[in-house]
Amino acid sequence: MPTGDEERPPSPAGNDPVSELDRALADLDAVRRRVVNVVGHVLRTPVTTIAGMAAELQAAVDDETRAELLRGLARNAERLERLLDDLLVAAEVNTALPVGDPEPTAIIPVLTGAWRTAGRGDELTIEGPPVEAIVRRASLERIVAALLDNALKYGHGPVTVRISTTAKGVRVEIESSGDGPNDEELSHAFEPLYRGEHAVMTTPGLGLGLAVSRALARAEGGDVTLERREPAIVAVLDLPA
Amino acid sequence: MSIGYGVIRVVIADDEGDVRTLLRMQLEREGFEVACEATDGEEAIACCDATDPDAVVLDLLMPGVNGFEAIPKLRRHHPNVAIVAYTAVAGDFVRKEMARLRIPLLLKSGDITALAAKLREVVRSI
Repeated sequence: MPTGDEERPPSPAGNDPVSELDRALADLDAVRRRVVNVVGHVLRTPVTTIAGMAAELQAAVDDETRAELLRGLARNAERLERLLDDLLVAAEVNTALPVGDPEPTAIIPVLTGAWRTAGRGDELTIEGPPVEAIVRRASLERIVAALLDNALKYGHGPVTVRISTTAKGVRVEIESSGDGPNDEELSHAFEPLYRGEHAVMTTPGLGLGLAVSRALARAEGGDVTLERREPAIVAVLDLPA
Repeated sequence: MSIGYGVIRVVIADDEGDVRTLLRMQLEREGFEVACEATDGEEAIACCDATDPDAVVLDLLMPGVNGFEAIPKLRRHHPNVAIVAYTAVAGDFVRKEMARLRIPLLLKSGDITALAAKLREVVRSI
């Protein structure tokens, strides 16, 4: 009877199925650790802030302090809700996708709106025609917000947007220079909760922006990809038109 | 510095405005004086230069100069200022690094009791 110690002949593809299983299990374990570490840590700040502010609210004696705490509670509750939504979208849970039918939606106003919401007082450089994409506006707003947030967080210097038309629709390229991801990090960039080592140490976030952008874009019939065009990194958003 | 006068003066260093607001309220309610607020490690050092506090409540993950980078600079320029690392991230690397640097490490919490106790402890020990 075989003991399992006999040498197994290699499979026709040349891959050892046991090694592949070991690798798959190791990858799964890495994802599990990533989920626990990143989600637990990133959610801790808004949750503990809400808990602390609620306690302070009970002790507050003046209206100004109460108003400040209530605004803080609302902000952090909204932040938690967005984080949870992003987690579900990144996991491709359809019930978390925006509802409604795709409609012709002008792209430039969504870009400038997201730039202002990001707190930027300077002008966003946008090159290209004022085209429309056939898309749910809520989806486009979230995609653009996530891509601009990434460009601002991980880039240095100006962010430039280029709009063009393609055979399939509309292309929006968001370019930023700076300490972009290395090749290893770039290969994982769209994995939910993946964040490069440098980003983890310096920049808050769940590592969902790109995963969410891609999930939303694909739900709209488009896609998001990342390209390295030294010294810049370019996020490429394709949408139907 | 206020040692001997009772009130412990603290610099808060955290990149999140709501965290700084909450910490300020909580620390003042506990009898501390918030001498200065900083949004990153560089500002924390500038706060210490300007206000000569007893302690720094230091977040670790901040854009710009993060907490890890600020610690040796704070130690060099302000050796008598106690540092308490106050973070949402405390994996193996962080725990080992803070142990190596002999910096007390606390996880962020809605309840400030542990932080207040640790601040009193570290300031008294300097």
